[in-house]
Amino acid sequence: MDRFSDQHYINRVIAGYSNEFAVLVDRYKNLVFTLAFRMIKDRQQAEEVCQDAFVKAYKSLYTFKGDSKFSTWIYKITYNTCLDHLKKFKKQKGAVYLEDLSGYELTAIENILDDIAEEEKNRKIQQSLDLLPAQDAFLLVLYYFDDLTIEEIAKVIGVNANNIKIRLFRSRKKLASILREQLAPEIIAYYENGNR
Amino acid sequence: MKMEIDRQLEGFADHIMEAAALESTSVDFTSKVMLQALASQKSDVTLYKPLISNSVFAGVLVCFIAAFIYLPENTTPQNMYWLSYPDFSPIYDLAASSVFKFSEMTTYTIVFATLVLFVQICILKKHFDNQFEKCNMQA
Repeated sequence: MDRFSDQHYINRVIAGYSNEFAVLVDRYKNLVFTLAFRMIKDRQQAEEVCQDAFVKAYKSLYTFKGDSKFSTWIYKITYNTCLDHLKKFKKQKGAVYLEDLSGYELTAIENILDDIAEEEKNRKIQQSLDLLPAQDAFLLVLYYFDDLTIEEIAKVIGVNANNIKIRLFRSRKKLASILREQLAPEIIAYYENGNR
Repeated sequence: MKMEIDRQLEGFADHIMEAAALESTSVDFTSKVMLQALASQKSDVTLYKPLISNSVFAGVLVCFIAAFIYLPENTTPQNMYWLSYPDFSPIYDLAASSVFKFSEMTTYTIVFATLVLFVQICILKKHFDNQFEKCNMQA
């Protein structure tokens, strides 16, 4: 199990020990792939984009100054590579309208998800994340899967921290709206059973 | 009231995202990345460097222009006597008495063909340089 920091391996790679870049790849590949997959929605293309992001990082490793975390830097490269890919293939998902959900509806959705089988629950959640627009999905994954602060996320996406807070709120709302649509029959049954 | 719903929404999203799993890459992902990364490294041995750099060319051009401007105004047959050495007259006499005699048309054709050949070399060089760049980018 490697115990050295990212900067140690970066210095080694710059010094000429190129193979040690594999340690950094292994450390971040799953999260980078998850980010790419949530934006691009296609496994194969996401893996290609993920590879491109790591190769770009390797080529410009000598420019990494160490003033931010390596993870922040690689996520930024991944984000920009995904945006380029989406522009190139003109992939547009349908718009998700922001709907105001009441506290009761949120509770109902949570209760329904807790009641259904684990496999079905995970499937519904994955489907909902798949339907979420690219940038919203990226933001939610970045916020929940890594311990980045709002300021660090703002650096990755290239906006200010207040903007991130607003986007995060909207992304959560869109996720709730999508889940409500996904679970519409179950919600109706839930209310019919007198759960209020 | 709105703040309460915002807090509920945040809690809701926290609960949902707990169930969302981290995706995994394919087994050979790291080796593919390393292959591409190492292939992109350009070796100094194969790196193309011109024999004569741009600065040297610029210097030669400046000297040529200076000579072109200076020499006609500042030379006389007396101070250019050194041009008569070495003496090429035996070669000229040999050429004049040569068995091969070319017509004007042939001479012009040979000169024109040579000029076109030089132009073609430049075009082909540019073409192969572009191909080389494309291959490197794909690698």
